[in-house]
Amino acid sequence: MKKIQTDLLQGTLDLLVLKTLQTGPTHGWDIAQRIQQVSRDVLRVGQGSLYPSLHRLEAQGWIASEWGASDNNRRAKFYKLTPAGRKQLSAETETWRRFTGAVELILKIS
Amino acid sequence: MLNKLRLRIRALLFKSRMEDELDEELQFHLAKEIEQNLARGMGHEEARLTALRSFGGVESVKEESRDVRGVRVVEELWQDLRYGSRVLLRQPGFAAVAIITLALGIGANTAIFSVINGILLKPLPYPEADRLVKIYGSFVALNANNARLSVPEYIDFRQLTETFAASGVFDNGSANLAQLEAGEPERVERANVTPEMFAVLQVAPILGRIFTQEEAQAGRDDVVLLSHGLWQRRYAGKADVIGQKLTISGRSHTIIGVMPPGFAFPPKVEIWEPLWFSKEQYDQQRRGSRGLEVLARLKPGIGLNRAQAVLDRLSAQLTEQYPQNYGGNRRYRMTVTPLLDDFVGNLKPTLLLLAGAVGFVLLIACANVANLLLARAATRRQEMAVRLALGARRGRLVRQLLTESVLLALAGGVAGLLLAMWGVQLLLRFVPDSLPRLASVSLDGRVLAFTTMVSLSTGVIFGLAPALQATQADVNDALRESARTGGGVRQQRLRSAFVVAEIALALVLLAGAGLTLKSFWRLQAVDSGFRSDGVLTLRMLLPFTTHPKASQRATFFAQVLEQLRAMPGVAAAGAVSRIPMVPGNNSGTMTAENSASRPTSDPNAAQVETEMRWASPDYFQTMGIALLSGRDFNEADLEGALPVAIVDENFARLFYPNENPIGKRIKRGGAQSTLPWKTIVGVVRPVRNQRLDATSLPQAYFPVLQEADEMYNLSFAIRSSGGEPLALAQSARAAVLAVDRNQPVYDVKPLGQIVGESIALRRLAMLLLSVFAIVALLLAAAGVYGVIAYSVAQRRHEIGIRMALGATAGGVQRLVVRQGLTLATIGIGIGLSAAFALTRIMGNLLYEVSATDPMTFAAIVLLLAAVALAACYLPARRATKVDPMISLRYG
Repeated sequence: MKKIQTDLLQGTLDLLVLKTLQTGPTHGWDIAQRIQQVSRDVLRVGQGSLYPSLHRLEAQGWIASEWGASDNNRRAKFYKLTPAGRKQLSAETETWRRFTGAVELILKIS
Repeated sequence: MLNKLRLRIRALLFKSRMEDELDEELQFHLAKEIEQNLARGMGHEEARLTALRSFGGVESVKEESRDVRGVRVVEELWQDLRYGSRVLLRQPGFAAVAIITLALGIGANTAIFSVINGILLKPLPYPEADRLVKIYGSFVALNANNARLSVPEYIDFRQLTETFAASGVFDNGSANLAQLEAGEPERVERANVTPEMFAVLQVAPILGRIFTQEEAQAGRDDVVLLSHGLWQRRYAGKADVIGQKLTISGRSHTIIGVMPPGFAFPPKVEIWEPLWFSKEQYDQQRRGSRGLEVLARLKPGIGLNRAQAVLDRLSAQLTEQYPQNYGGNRRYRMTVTPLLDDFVGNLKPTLLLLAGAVGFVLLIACANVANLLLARAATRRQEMAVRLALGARRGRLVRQLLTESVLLALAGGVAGLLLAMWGVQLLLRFVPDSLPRLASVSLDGRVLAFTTMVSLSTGVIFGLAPALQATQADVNDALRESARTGGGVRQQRLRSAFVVAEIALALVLLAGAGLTLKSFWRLQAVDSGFRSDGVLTLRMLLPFTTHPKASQRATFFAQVLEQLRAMPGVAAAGAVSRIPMVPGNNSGTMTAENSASRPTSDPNAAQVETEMRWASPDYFQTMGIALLSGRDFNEADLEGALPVAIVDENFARLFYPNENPIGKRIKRGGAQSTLPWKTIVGVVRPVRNQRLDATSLPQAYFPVLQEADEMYNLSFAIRSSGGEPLALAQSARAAVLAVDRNQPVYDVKPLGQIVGESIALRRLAMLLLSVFAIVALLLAAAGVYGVIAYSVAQRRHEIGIRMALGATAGGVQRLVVRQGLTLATIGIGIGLSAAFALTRIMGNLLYEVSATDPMTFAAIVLLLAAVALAACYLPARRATKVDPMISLRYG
């Protein structure tokens, strides 16, 4: 299966990051891994877009960061959803669903 | 929102920590990646390389993350500032020249602006001062403006309650305050005002009360209001001052109130007494005796134009109703003048003109610095080309170059501010105290804001063209070209354009300065009608209260004159109601009896607005005013003797063109006037009574000893028999005090100083314009020199070839000079057309010089051409020193 470039759709990556963080705080590498795994290797997140996205979300106040220890006791920056981020996630999920539903409808007709 | 702000502030403040964290985060990611690759069974080196490859450019990730933080603009600005200051510090010579040039331009602008700010922009210290207006009358046909109002006129004006919310009348002068303890009396500025005046000014006393209407009448008017300053000075701010007695000019007054701090109307006044009109003043017969100064407050929402239209309607009505007063060809018009305009008078157009002139100086400075930057840009072309090649955006480079020029401009602004502080001090020393509102001239917040604005925009103005030029470089060309060339045709054209503009601007300034200089020179040759050298003048007040009888007053003045004449070193002494060119005016209608040219039967012709003065015997001799025919006043022209008058040549010519005026009779007022006829006994030369640069109305003099009413505020003139007039000051003071210890003497000045003050504004404008023009000329010369020298340096190769092919030194010199003169000629051409258009607005600064005076223009064209030629000389000489061998081999 061909891999999809995630930066094709603006904002999509932000949604995926928020969704990934819903299960609990984690660091950047882990976020990328999980997206890759859950999408069964279809979506690969490059570092070049992941970190700007994380910092953008942080600047928006939707996620917060703090330094913690990773599994093998190395210093890593952990990100977690803020209450505002949670609200944003549900709003964006809703928007995404309506969008893809609409696209689906059109694809079916033609 | 708050969170965002916190992040940004953190990003700015802890920039390095944020960078470190970002670094660490990315390092962690890389490590995890490598770990995973190892787990997949790769070798160490392979795992690292694969991870790095998939990671992409670390720096671009960082850059993007930084962008997200939204502080890049600020960070880059800081970067540019640091880089810019380093670049400038590395070229201290260039920076110094640029900063000095800019400091001259910005400093001159700041100095002039702080004067304009203090005099024209700061509001007057009264509530809603922009609605305060002065009311004057003007006789358009007689070219007599700002005449005061008579009581009947004021009564008519007061009906206009739809337009004017309130109005009052004032009369100001000075008064003698008796000291609390024994001692010489103090002279203070006083004003008599009608009770409504305080409502007009919207001011209330902080202590006590203002006058009542009942106190504005004879016998009840012995009440006085004190200024805050006088209250503090004399009574140490004690509240029990209310009800105390104060002796003003010999008459006891009751203090009824104290005004708030800082209040003074008119400016400098310290005591206010009630003003009232006598029954006679209300008489319609007195419609022509105009002595009232009227201040009014416009109703809210009424503009000046509307108020003037209302006054025009009233003037038309009056003209119809009282043809003998306003009719005929006199064209009476009551006018409204904003109080601020009235205070600053003819200062406003002069200040605006000076502002324009310094604006030109700044533009020239900008052009010069822009040229410096262009020359420098040529040497930085490679730097720019490399940076463009490495992917810098052009906008980013332009921004950096602009930061550099703004930095220069700000440095110039700071230096200019220092220059302006010094310049304003110097300026104020040259300005006579008589100019209004000088006290409010200072470097305040508004001036600082102005300087900052000017500096910033200056930086952009002179920096933009060089920045665009420098970053336009074709990368290939720039990298391939050696340091020798650079610049190129386009840049040379831009530099030439700047120089042309400089010369044109300098020419306009020179034209302005030249015309004022010539005007001033013309003024020096004006015949004032009197000889000012060697004459000392002094003034004194003789209150009616202390010398109520005419005989007492006559005796007093006779004694003072006797004392003055007896002083050693005195050739002559005389007294007069007002020394010529001392501000103030006393004019009125005079009617002549049996004038053939202006018969009494025609009321319009028989009366003429005449300047009137009251003089003692020997006054004309003291002042050097020539007696053309008849006799001077003498000791026998006393009250009760035959009323006599002396008229000037203009008056005589007007009424008696073909007759001998001696023995004819004239009287004050119109044909119906009941005032006594006066017989003309002498004719004198006309005197410039107002200013050196203004001709006067016809003049008439009356013997001061004959009219006790006029013996109140007298001036004395003393002609020294050879020495410095000021040397007489001390003994003159003593001579007056010897007659009466209670009469202070003031305004002790040489007559020459009074004449100088009458044209002080003109002199100041001339000095400033000349200074600005010289600065402009020097800057333009430096500009021409810079461009020609630079072009010679660039053309060394070409010149070398020419010389190798046999060109003579003279030929090369001509080549260089021709280039400079071409620029100068174009600049002079443009400047001439601009100057022809602009010098027209100088009207009121010119005196008997046309705004397009050919002599002046020819002189400055020659001057400018000579300066341009001189500026070319050095580079031209350098060009002939070019050694063809060297320039061909290495050039």
